[in-house]
Amino acid sequence: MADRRFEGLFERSMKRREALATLGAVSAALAGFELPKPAAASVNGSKRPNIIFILSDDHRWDHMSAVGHPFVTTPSMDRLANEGVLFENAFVTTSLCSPSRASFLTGMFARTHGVKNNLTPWQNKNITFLEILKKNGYDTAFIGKWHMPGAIPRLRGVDEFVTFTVQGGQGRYYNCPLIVNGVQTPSGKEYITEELTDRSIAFVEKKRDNPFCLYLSHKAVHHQFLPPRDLRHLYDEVNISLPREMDPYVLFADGNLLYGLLGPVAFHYRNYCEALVAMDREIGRLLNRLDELGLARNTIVIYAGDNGYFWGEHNLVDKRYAYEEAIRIPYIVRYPDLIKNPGRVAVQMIQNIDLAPTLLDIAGIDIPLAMEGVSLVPILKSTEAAGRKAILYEYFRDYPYRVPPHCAVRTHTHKYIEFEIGRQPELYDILSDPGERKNLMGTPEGEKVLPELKGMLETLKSGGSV
Amino acid sequence: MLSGVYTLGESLYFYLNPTNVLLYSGVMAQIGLCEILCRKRLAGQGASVGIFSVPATVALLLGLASVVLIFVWDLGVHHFYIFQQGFKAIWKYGIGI
Repeated sequence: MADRRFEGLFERSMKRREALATLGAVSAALAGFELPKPAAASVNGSKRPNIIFILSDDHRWDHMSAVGHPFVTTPSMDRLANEGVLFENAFVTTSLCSPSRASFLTGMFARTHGVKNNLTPWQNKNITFLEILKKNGYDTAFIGKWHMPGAIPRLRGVDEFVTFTVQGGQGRYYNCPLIVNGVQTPSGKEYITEELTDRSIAFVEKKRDNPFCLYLSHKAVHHQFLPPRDLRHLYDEVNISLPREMDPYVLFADGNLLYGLLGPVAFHYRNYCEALVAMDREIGRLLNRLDELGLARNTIVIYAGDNGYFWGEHNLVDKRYAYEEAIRIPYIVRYPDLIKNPGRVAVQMIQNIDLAPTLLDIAGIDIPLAMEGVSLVPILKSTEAAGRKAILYEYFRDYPYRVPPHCAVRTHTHKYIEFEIGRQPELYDILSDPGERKNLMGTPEGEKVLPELKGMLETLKSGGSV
Repeated sequence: MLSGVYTLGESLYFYLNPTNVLLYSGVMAQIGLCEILCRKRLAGQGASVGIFSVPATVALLLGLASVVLIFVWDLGVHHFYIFQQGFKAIWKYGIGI
């Protein structure tokens, strides 16, 4: 019966199942329902790609061997970079977990999606790229750190939702209880990065007709920076040199105790690097499984961090401020079907809000006008593609941290920071002073570029482009 | 800076954060311990005093319990989130957001 054909219907042959589906679709359309519609062909004209987005936490852009870190080795990230495009000027719009995560998901600035700090709840009216992909026929999964305030949402357009709520949603490195599709579930593996990778691999392995989109959101390498047992002493012998401006007592000063870094900074830093190596190893496991399944070629893999981290630069720890260490993130895209000259470094400035439009563009889906990011497809296709002239950064109050709200504009040559309260504006020439140590405000050099930068900042803040 | 960024109420609530409470608890335990040690010394010199007075013992035990609860319990991480829940209960996600 299943193979019985209904000849003549719509003047072509059709299987019984297809005919029923068609009749159902027509009925539903007449009843006013919006049906999931298959997307047009993907950007390269081939079968729509699978998507894997891997997001890490607090991974600073310069902590990869691919960009020359002195001792951290990240062969899996290096592999992605060698087989794809490494964006060396990738930035977040807000250097804080929750706002940045919401920006990745929605393609919007914090002021638009509403998650302005780690206390403001996620608004269910926000539309994520996962929801749009689902409507266009993708199987979707969100696995890992959600960490946006409020109750865990029933995230629209997500078939499989695995996350955690312990420690304010930060999760635990060891034996972290999970929430699997709303049900509390013990972790199968002791170490969280391995558990999340296992679940991601299980999702990828599922037999399916549809393309898939996996959003893998690691806890690593966030505080408390705990590596797995076998990597705990990996960097014990490494001589850690901390930034020269760092006061050894900075962890006890100016409210920094709240960052939970009691003890020698070098101890935490070694742990951070070891947890990073562990995450890289797990990324490698996922990439190898893609190879074994024959999915690597038609799967776009994007690796990014949610924000950077200070390890004593500017005499700071944590993130939040508009300096490079905090706002610059690792960002690598691998998609063999689209990137014809892999192993390339892209210099164009991109932001976390570009992820959603890029994925939709690659999948051949219209990008909603509400999204504030831009598609990176032109840059993925060509080294010569134009990038942004400037980017906007914004930071809002986040209790109980004493960082004043501020905003900044960054060009390829300068950065101008305006604080709402408590601090005077700052201006840096990031070409001659990449460490942003010499404030040019009030200097002849600064006065020369200040009007243009101020103008750009105002334009970007009002939603315009420069 | 704290009261510059936050309102007076938010700034005052700040003093309930884990590091501050840890400081209060530590001082309380220290006061209790010192009282007990002094009493022990006096008793050793022949004074007619009990070593473990109720206030000193309570201060020592409460102080130590708080130190354990706040600091030893995952380095204050849990207490920090309790502190934040308290903040949210009063001010939601903060004034001026």
